[in-house]
Amino acid sequence: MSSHPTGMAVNTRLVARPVPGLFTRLWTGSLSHWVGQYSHPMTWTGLTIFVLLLLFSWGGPWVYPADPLAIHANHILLAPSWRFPLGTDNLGRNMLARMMAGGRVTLEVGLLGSFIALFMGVLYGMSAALSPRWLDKVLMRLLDALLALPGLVLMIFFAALVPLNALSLVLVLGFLSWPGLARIVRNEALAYKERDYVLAARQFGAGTFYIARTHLMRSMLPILIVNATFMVADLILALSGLSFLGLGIQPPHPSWGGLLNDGLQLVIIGPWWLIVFPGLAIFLAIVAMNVLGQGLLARLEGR
Amino acid sequence: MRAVIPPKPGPAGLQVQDLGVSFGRGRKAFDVIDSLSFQVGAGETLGLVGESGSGKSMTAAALMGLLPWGGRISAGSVRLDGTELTQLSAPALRAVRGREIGMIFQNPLSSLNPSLTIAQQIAEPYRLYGGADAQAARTHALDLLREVGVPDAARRLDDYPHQFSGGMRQRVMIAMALVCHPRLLIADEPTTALDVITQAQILRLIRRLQKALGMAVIFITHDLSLVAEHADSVMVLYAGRAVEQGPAEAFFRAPRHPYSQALLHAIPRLAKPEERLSDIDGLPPRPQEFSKGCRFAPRCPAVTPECLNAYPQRQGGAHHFYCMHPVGGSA
Amino acid sequence: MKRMILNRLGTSALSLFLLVTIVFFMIHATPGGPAYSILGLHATPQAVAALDRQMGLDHPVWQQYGIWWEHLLEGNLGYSFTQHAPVASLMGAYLKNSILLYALATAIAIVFSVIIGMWQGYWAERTPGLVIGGLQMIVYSLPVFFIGTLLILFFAIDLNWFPPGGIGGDEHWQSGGAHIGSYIQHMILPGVTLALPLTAGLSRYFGHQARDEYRLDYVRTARARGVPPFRIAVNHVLRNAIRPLVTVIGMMIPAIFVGGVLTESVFNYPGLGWLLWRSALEQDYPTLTAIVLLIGILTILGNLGADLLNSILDVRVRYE
Repeated sequence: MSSHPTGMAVNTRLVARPVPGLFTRLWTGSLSHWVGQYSHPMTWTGLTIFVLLLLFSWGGPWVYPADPLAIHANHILLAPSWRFPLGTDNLGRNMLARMMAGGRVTLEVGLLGSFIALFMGVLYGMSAALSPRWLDKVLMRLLDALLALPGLVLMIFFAALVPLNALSLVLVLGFLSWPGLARIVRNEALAYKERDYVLAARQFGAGTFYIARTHLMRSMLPILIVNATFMVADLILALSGLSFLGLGIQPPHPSWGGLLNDGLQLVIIGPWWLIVFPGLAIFLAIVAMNVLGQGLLARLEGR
Repeated sequence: MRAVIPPKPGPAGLQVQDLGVSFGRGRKAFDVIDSLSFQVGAGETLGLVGESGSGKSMTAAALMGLLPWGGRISAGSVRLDGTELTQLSAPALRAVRGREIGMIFQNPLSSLNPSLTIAQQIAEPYRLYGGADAQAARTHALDLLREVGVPDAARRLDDYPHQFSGGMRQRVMIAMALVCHPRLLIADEPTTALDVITQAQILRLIRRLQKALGMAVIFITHDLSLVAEHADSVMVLYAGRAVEQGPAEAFFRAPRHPYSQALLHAIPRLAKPEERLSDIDGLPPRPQEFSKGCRFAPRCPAVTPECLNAYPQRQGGAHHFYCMHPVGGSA
Repeated sequence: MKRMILNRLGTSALSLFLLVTIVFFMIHATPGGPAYSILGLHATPQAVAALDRQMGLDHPVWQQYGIWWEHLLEGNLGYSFTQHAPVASLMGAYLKNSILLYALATAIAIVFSVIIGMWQGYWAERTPGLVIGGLQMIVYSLPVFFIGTLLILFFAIDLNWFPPGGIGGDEHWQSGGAHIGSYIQHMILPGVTLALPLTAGLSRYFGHQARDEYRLDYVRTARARGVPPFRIAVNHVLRNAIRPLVTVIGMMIPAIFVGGVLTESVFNYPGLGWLLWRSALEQDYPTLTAIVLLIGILTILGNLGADLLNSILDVRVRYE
């Protein structure tokens, strides 16, 4: 199970129904129709917050160019001011610049890791669904055993084994986050597999791979999109957690989780800006993705 | 038997005068029930007839003060044995519901709480409002179960609803409704979910208990044949208004409103109940679409332009109706 | 019924077996193999070879797998070089601390989830229900370690009401005999920290459950019989809405562990999660492996327990 209750609910609550031509509509250019069908106030709220965070992290340096690693002994632990909008840390480093740099690595690793996890989850889930019954059973038992190990616990285990940099973290996060999704994909695929149009395609001699690629994937695309948003939220949380624990992005390179931990180390002298800003950034990224996913889910369920 | 509740002055039974029910506020407000007047004396039965969506169940909810969220009684009065119910506070109204009005619903299984025993459910209002202790309540529940004809009642007291058959569940529902010997019993399609034989048994049971307790009964149904058999008077509802009402005998001898006429013609003889309205085209309007004219006009075979301009005047005495072109000519 | 229980026991046993196997291969999949895992990434080849011989790692993999099982069944989890003690002997104290903290947090979460969920179910699709839903989304998205840090900043540093971390009693927290008042004081902030996200998730689930119950006919029956709203809530709705609670708590176990690791690390609370974190930082692989195994086993057993308890509770009352 992914540790995400809403993600869990996707599987059980969604009544399987085909959404024909979702790709087709995209390709033929009637994007507005597609947007209209899936638009929901929550979707727009989440999307807006997330885009703002992306702009902050990647566009910010153009507006406010400053070195996130430069140490200045003459302005240590300054509260937010015009010169340092988010203050400085105990080495006099510019917090705003560090937040931007931390955002880049956090969002990057979160998004890339999600791609891997999504790919793995679909691959495993589809394989199980399209396998003979006995193999499906074996694969599902294996999944159960894997799901008994909470994601973050496994990540901590592997983080202790690998050299910690952005690439290895993408791999660790990606390859450890797919089991929950795999189960959803497998159950969805099983539900669609017995549909008339799939049976018909089979009768016309369509191969297993063709069916998986066209019919099953297309039918479950909306559910995948919803789960992808939850996945991004989960991985941003996981990466921030690891970095917070000192097992993620390593100092001096900033990441939101690492910055929050720096703040915690100095909590005794109470520099709130070192705690509130990174924490808020992580929260905003997660809430953006969760709200976005909930909005999509609401539309899928016909609310 | 009536020791629990002292009798009150005033005419016995239920009097409803110009009852109106509205939803929403301001310009978005709309009426779902409009100018409803009727009475049911103690020991009498009123048959409330109409299609689904005609306001039958909403009328019952209004009488009990149980309108859905956003609904309110916007006009009129409801008097039960002389007590004005629309003016009562919420706790007082609850006490009236607990003691003086009993209600039976369409689907007995879903209307029973699956995780409480029959004894617990029957006795609940008796303990809340009758002041009985646990032992007395249990004895009372047992008496009631016997009264409604549940075999082997003593052993079934601690069973759960799912352990009963459909007919037995409806008997349990009746026992629950009668627990404080109410003055008014509202039976909302009590037999729709039951087979024909059980249906007859249940209706006979209700009638026997009505005689014994002197209750006023409102019998809500879409089945005119049941009304013909069991009711003393009839009220036909269409789109939240009464289109025709009066003594059952007079009504069935000569229904005057085209809608009543159509309903009567639709009584299935050997056909399935689903087909009963098949000879009226179209659907009743939704409350937001009520016009100022006759609401049946769009589906009426006798419609003329003036039907659309104003709601028809009341015609007739005890047996009266609201139509400009009644069946059998004007009075 | 009996069949169901046997079936459930069987699948749990299979899951346990697979779990132990997965963890074995996890260790062997590490770069350089388990010797590196134990000696660290900077070990000399000689030391690695020596340890390989000593641990029987020069045997073929299937023999090592046998040895791995043998050691496990003997309760031999290896030796911690950083704690200077056999791993198995370390676990007890940490496990006890964790269970206390997790039980406290779960208890807080259940109590508040029931209250909030009933409220939300009653007000579903109206303003109060929507406000609660929004709050749940916000709290659910707050990282545990952010909540913990904020609570320390506010309640421990600014207000000085609670200690910022650690555990009560004497400084040698492992030796037990802790002063109970101080112990409780140290548990409050981590307990609340861990309870908050759990409450957000559980109350949301419970709110949906209560909302669905409120829509059922039996609630209408109870209203029609003059049962007061509070009594309807407690005696009718709650009774039905609370039924899946045991199962849901079983499903929450992984989330409790994840939250627990982070909470214990923020507050330096010496539980299993804290030990996991420390051994990861210090690359103490035997301890790390043991904790991962233990958490997996506890999760499987927890789910099994929840299912069995539920089937016992469910025998009494069942929908058809």
